[in-house]
Amino acid sequence: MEEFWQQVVTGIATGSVYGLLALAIVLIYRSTSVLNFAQGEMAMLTTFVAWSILQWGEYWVMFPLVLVIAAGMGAFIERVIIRPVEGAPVLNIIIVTLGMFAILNNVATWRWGGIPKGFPAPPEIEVTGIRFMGEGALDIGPTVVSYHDLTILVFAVAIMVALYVFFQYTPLGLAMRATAQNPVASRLMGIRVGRMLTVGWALSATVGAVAGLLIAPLILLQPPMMMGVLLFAFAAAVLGGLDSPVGAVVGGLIIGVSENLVGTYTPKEWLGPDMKLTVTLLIIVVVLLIRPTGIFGRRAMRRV
Amino acid sequence: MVVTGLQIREVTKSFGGIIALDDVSFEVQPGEIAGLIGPNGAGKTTLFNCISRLYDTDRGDIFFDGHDLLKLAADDVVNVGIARTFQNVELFKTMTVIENLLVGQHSRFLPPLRGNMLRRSASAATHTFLEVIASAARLPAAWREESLARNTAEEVVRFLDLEGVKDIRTGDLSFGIQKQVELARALVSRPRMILLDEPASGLSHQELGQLGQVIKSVRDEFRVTILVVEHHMELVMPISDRMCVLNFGRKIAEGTPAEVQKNPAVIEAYLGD
Amino acid sequence: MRRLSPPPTSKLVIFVVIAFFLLWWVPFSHVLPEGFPLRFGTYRTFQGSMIAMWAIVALGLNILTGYNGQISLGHSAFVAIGGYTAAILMVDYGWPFWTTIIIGGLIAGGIGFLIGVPALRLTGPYLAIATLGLALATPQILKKYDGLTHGTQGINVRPEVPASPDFIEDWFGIKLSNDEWIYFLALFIALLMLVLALNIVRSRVGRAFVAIRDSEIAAQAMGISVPRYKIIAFGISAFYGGIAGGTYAQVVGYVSPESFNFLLSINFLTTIVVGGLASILGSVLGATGLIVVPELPGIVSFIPGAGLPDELSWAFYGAALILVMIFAPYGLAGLFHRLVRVGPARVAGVLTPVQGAWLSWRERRRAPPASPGQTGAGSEDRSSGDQPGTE
Repeated sequence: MEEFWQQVVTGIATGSVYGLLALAIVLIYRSTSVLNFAQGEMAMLTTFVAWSILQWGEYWVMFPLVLVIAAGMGAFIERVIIRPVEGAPVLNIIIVTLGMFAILNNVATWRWGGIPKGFPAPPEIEVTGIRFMGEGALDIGPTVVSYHDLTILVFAVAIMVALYVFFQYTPLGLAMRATAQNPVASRLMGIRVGRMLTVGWALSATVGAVAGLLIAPLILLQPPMMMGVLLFAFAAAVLGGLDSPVGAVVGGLIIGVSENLVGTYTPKEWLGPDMKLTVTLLIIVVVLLIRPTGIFGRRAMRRV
Repeated sequence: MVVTGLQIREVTKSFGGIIALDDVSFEVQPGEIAGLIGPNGAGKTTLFNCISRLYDTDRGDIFFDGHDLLKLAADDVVNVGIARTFQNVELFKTMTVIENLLVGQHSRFLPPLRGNMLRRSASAATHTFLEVIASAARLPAAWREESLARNTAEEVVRFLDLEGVKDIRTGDLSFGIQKQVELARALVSRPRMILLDEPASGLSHQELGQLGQVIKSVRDEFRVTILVVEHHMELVMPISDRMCVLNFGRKIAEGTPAEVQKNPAVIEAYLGD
Repeated sequence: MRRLSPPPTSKLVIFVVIAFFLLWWVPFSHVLPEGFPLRFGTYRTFQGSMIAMWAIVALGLNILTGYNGQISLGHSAFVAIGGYTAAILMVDYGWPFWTTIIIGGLIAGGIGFLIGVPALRLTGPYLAIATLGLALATPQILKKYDGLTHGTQGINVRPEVPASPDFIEDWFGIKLSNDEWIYFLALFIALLMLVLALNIVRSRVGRAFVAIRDSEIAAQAMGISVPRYKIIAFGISAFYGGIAGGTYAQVVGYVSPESFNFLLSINFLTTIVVGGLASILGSVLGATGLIVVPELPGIVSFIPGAGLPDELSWAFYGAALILVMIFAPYGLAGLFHRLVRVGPARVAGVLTPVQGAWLSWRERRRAPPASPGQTGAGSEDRSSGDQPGTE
């Protein structure tokens, strides 16, 4: 039983990272119907930038700085690369994001080299005697949780709440939701649709950057580090429903946990840890066959 | 003795509490032009979609030439001889006019509907499989069908005066011409009945008169039964043999155009409010 | 059938040039003296074989994605099935190579057919990611069940790959090297598959595929069984993947789980979009482009001043992808037709879907609210795919 809870808890932590990147993917998909294949590489690049900043600065100085840089990069990419193909068939835009994938990956390798680097977890903070983040692990009854796993979870929840508040209660969030639902009508209502798309990409890049900063301590900083995460994030986004931010996070958690459980509890001879990816994907496909637009996704209806 | 024509009996259809069709019955005799009219939201297109099996009905029966339509799949309807057009035009817009008319003849070369469901789908699947091989290898069977289909397409193009646009992609054509291409696409399948959904939308007043003539000549030349959905009275009145008026999902009147025109319920539906 | 606009003589000249290039220059120009302009080394012959193999996959994927509108990111799985079937049958059972290619294709096609059934439930990105799962699972499965697949070490097919048969020497009086013979083999298979694909897309089956992509509702009303044709498209497409896999086993002489990872699938999709969706020519151009372009920085660096550091070749490739999508949204095939100024619908209707999609896109850009009736018969001589990308 202890092992079970251990697997669940670590599953929730990695699942939260998948969920965060999935959230970034959903933010872009909702507004432009584009699957951004460069999402992981954008996060990887900002994490390398963070590493460079950390060579002379404090973690908590670097953190906001990197978020601002990520937002700027997201906005820049939307304006310069995505804008010229806006309105083109979706497959074309997907290919453009694949092109960005190649460029970002290659530039990172060229600038920072392919050798894996260690990356620090957020340092310890003490608020009113309670310790947050940092090294070590916390004993909670049936199992042990590392502080970093807790940090990931707290960040994921905080970002979700912040995004929820932003979309539900701020005028900008409302305008962005309107743009996502009906760009033409939004334009007629005086919303600057182009600007909303730029903000969407900036926001998405920022969320992705947080995911990169949080996963890097676990998997070492190197150019291909986000590739696996991205694939799980896609799976999470699809599982939850591509138009649902909540679904993205829930999908991430489900995948994180089920991946761990499948690896531990299936027969080693013909499944086991080697096949955990395959089995997890199979589970996702089965869920999709029951709910073709994901758990929280809306079905599209067509009138004749 | 098989009853011919279209029989609609007590058809009811609702969408999540909203009743779109309420106990509607009427018949169309072979060779007639029948008008189905009513204000917007009266349920005309819903009825069309029930006939062409895009919707399932909640209750009621629909028969055509002895076939129980409710037992058929949407892609079998054309096989029993019913073709249709769509209110907002559903052309294959990346294809040229001629190509649309070739697709329109898809049902011409399908095996006839015979036997039970299982046998039918087995024979259809075999047919599709053989068809792929015949097409890939360009076997004589495939190109013989192809040239037959092309001839028919050309004939209908000439009949509807679409020769000038026949090699243009339908997505590039004006709305009025697209409507005509849809009519042509319905005709090439050699149907016994055509359902026209608002053929007059997007047409000028002058074109309306011509359209009436076209519909009549289609009936006479191709010997088809025609059911027209329309809310333009000027189009349907002069050409219809029989009319049925719907309002809020209910049939409020039926009869010859002259009878319908005098019906107080119709006058109220169109003028009152 | 309409005629191509260039007169027959120039068509003949083009045909002869292409035939000479494919049949002599690619396999044999290495016999020319070192330094001869455009001389191809033997490595180029191998690349020629690879292009042929990629073109086969691209043709199949284009039938599924370009013509029928179902996105697949799982085609590396079908290529793996074909490749492994051929390798296992040749190495472990000693079957002649050509039977293994056909059987590989049939098995892949059968599996594609089965996968086409659940795929009916999914559309767009959901289908894309679900099929991506297939591609991700493939290497794991190949590694795990090593009793059949030889596991991580892969299968070396090289000793079984056929040498140039005697009849070539008897008939033409030349002895082909292995690379040359394999090149001709791959070229032959690719041309055969190309002709079959052309026939399919021009037939009522191909039109049914496009009809379903354009409007499922109308397709149904025409009597087209949407599920049946969608499944058939999946099966045909997977069959092409399997044949390509069998060809791959002959060309590369080695299959391993990592030869068929998911990146391959993504590259296949890139191939058809860059080449041109719903275009047979596009499939071939895309395959050529994808093999040749990553090599270009090396070629370009010979020109003084145009050199790019070699370690940036992937960035160069990525930039090339983005530029093609911005300036040739309908791919290399669209670009090609702009260059030779062949009118739309003149190339036997093959390009029509592409150009139609382009037109509707442009229309949407121009005026968001639909304004029916703005274009009429006068648009006949507008060659749509050929307009510049911005207005």
